[in-house]
Amino acid sequence: MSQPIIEVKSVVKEFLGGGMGSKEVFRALNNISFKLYKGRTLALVGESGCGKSTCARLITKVHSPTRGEILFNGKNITDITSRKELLEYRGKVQMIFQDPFGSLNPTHTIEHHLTRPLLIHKQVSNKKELRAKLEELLTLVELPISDLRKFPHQLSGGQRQRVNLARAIAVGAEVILADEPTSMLDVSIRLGVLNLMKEMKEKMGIGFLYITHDLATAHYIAEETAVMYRGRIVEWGDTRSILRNPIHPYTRLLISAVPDPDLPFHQLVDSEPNYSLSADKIRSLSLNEVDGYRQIDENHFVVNWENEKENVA
Amino acid sequence: MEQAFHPEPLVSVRELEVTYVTDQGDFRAVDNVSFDIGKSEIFGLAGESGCGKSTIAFAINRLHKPPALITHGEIHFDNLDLLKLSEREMGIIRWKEIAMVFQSAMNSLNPVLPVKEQFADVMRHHLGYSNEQARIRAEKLLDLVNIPRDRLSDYPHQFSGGMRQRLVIAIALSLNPKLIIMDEPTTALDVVVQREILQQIYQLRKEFDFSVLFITHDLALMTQLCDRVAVMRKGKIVEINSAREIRNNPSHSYTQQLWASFPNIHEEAKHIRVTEDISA
Repeated sequence: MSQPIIEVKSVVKEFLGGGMGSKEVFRALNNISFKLYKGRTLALVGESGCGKSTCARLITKVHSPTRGEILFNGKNITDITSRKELLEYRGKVQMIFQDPFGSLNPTHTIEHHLTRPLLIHKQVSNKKELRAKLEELLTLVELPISDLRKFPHQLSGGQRQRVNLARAIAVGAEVILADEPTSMLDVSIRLGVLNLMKEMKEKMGIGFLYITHDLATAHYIAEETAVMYRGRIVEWGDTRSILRNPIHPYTRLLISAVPDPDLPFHQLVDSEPNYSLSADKIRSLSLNEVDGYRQIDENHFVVNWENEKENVA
Repeated sequence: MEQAFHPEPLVSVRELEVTYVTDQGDFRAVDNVSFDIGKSEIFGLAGESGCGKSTIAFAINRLHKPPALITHGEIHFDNLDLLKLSEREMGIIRWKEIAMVFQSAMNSLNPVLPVKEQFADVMRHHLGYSNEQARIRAEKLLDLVNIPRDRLSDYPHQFSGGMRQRLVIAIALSLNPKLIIMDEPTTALDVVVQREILQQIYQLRKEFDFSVLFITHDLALMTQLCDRVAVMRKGKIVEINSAREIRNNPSHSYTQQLWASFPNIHEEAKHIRVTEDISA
């Protein structure tokens, strides 16, 4: 396969916490590695606080890794320091956030939101070009041109998220880090935004990191998935292979909890009356680190864990 | 829509109409809605944001505030005409008979009081308990929601989001309500925690025999948990039926559309029983 656009290599991120004078260290990311490719989507799946958003913050250079490195087209991003290079990097690596309202300025029109990045990143040279570019962007994200005059509050959540996607493409993004982009949207518009992302991936070759707690949408959009628990990736590879044949107990726990409309609660309660106790046991055994990993399929890997007889020597 | 009614109703809503009166004119948020919630039934209201489902929840508890007004209809609860009660009479029923758990309920705990104070407050006010009586009852309630008893003296910030939500449910249960209204109670939580909490509700309902009005936009979760489901759109109930029929034979095009718009992983992933993983 070709060179990845973004490669995260054995990254550790520690935060100092505990307040004044305290030396408490919290390890948010523990030896994380993954690659993002052109025209493909990787889903980072896990519960809140597992470190999935921290990954995105490291890639956007909001934080820097404690150990390990992140490569952008083969170049370590900590070496990107000059103003010019930073501008270029930030143009190519864009982020989309969960709250589509919080990420747009309520006092400015959609036109303003799209014009500014175009000018700052010098994507247009004159006014005529600007107008054409704006229209092109709106058409691309399937919004009417008349929306340019509107303010964020006049748009629905799904439409606002489309504006955010347009803004990311406006500056020439090659990689989009999407942090729960659909979890605040109504179900019926959620799919529309996911389909747009799919199209951007296929037609424009944009690489996506799709950060979510929702396996169902990850399944819909991502070829590959990495399941995270407490700062570690516990299972990764082909999304379908992971769903069909989940190996790690934490992945299995996650899948077991996704609502299944064909399985009413009376059956669940009968078959697993002590679900909570099992969940707690799985959480605590997943917390303990065990060296090594196994290959399950051509593109499907799982870390070793405690209690597994064949792995514990 | 004969499925709207129940042979043994605890709550009967009839021709309910809630209107928001604004300068730009009136907006009818709930339009001619009628349904029953049966005794010890879990009844679901499904729909997208702005469809009026939460407005109904607030109206039943009479917690709706201006500019929302109940402009027509009746709400009966256990042979009481709720809309005819005085504010004082309603104040006794609220919490004691009808408890409510919101989406961000975990944020409704008072951050500067230990949890035991918040249990005691409810029980002192409604049951006239002493602090000691309240502590004993609170410990029993914590057992029910799987939180260790020794954490009663902790403050809300020392609990995770899921635990805080379970604390609110425990406080709601403390007065043995006949109806618990849950408005998106698990939307802010992870799927595993969601399953744990809802399974607990399901099991507690069997034990305590209360009814639940469950509100969510997640149709899959709804048909899993509820006995009967009403699908709402723009203030109206478009379809109401048993959960199984809503799943297997949705008759309204909007219900069908909702089903089509969410990817179901269980077509791919077979069902997993984690209990087996652990005992293995």
